[in-house]
Amino acid sequence: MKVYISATLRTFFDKTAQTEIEGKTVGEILKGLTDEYPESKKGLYDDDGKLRSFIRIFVNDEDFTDVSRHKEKLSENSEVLLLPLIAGGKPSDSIISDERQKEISIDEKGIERFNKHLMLREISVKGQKRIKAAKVVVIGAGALGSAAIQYLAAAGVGTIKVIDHDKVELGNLQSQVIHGARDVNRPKVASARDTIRNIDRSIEVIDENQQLTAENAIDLIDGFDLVLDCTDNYKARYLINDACILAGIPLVFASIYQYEGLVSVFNYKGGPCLRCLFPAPPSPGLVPTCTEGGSISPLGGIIGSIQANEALKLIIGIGEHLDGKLLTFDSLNLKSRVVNIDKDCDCPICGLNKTITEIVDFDYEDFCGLKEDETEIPVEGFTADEFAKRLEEEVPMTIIDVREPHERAILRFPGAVVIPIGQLARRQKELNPDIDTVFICKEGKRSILAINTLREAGYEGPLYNLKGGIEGMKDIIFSHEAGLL
Amino acid sequence: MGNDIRYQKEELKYVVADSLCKRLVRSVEEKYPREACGIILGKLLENNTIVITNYVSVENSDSEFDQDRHYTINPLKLYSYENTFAKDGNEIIGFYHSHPDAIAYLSEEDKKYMIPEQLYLILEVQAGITLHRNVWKKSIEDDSISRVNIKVKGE
Repeated sequence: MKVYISATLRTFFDKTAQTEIEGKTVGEILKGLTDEYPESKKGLYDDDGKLRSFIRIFVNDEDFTDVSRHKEKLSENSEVLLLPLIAGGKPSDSIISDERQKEISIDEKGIERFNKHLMLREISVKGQKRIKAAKVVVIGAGALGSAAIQYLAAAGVGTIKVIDHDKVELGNLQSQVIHGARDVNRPKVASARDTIRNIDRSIEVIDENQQLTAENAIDLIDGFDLVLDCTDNYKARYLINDACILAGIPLVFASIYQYEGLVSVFNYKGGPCLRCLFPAPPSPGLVPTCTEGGSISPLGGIIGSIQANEALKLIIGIGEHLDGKLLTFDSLNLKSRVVNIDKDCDCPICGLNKTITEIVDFDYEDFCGLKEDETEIPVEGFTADEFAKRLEEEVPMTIIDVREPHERAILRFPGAVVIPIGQLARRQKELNPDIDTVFICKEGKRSILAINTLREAGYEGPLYNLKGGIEGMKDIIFSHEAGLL
Repeated sequence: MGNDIRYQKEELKYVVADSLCKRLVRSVEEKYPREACGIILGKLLENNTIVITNYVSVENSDSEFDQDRHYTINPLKLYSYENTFAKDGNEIIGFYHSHPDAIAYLSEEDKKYMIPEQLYLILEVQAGITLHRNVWKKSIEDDSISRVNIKVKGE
């Protein structure tokens, strides 16, 4: 039978363009070819003995490449063509590999459910398969997590793990829309699980009702494709950042405060991390957390939705990502900016000379200033009961309220002198060193900072902190009008 | 037919005219946002130098939904071209294709279909403009892939 060999493949056949090979089927002809040109075996077949991807066999105009046709009897005057398949495609930007995407199937219901995704050229069936193959961890089922979790579920993410150790409280319902009134006192992860299941029962939900610690962090995220940081405290944020870098998982970071939000993507394709952006957290008490500072209701929803959007773009492999960039969003003035973040070569965890290689060895409490410094002079203080007793007995003392104006508007402490921490040093003359001065704030943390500030400024009179702050005095009932809580 | 290019044991050098490059780039950009593809033709000169003489733009036979990220050249179409090339004394040196909005590096899909000793020119076309070009070749000895330098001569 006549066999034509494509110019591109003659390398394997001693320059031969055309030859005659004995055989009545494609199988016999291939055997004949490799017998006559033993070197061609390497060119035609891979290590598993299968025809290589770029080899095509045509008989006249029909494709006979598939092994199922290799035993078909060919007609006498057939011409067998050994041709190449020239093909390829651009690299996918997705964090989900092609192999995993190919293993997924989408049924008719899925086609109906995700119709709006399938219509988009950039997503289509392949993109939706990547979403279904994806495994995402969301740490925090609060304001940010509420939006992020719901949109990831709605988009069809196949596996979602939710980590949160808190129970739903009444105050959460102002912004944490994944929970309802019936969920108060339930673990947040249980409530989140119910919401996800209500959106799509086919999603695999893993709920972890536990706190993320240095001991469990890497185990909790290991094996997942992406992590979303939806937490509200610095200690957790640095821990998550470090765990993601050590586990090699990209991280979509977000934070909210009052009216503003931040979003970024860390540890993606060797880009910067949280420590490159913020090498250290602010001193405790200097910046109120979301719990102390408040936030407008939809803010978590806006920023958490952007987080989910970034996550989906990474999974599908489309669009511009926020790696090496920080999105700042001001919902009050409706302004947003994207600023560049440089990778820090000296970053202790992702820089050139890494000093953090195991997160269990890193002291996050100390790093975030949550530990009491043993070299510092301990701050004396009163418990809520002790302070209430002194008020009842009308013990002479100066009460200094260091809270923010909006906090004082919610709840005044009559009889207290208002001095912001920044003014303490120069207003220390207003204090009487012969009597006790007691500092009060919301939770008893900023008041410690105030005392230390005053000490450093040289004040020597007796200073006391109200331990637990005004929050701690909520349940105390006073016998006379000095009582106000 | 002359000396067949593929059997030179010494390292081959490649050269192309700048004007030809420019025409190829324009032809590729016209296809954006779809992947453009085609054949690269050349002739072997003395001193183990191959001059790239022409390119032929070929239809991407993938479905229109896939053409923005994949290309295929129908084998029978290539077969029909081969005879015309032979008549002009040109050889198929390799193939080119574009990566719309993606880097000019071989994807896993590209590597899967690479024929040893053929040149593979990839063009990175971002928003319709060609930013980078890379040329790759797979070795017949050990399937290793390396970048190929093509000298561009101003003409």
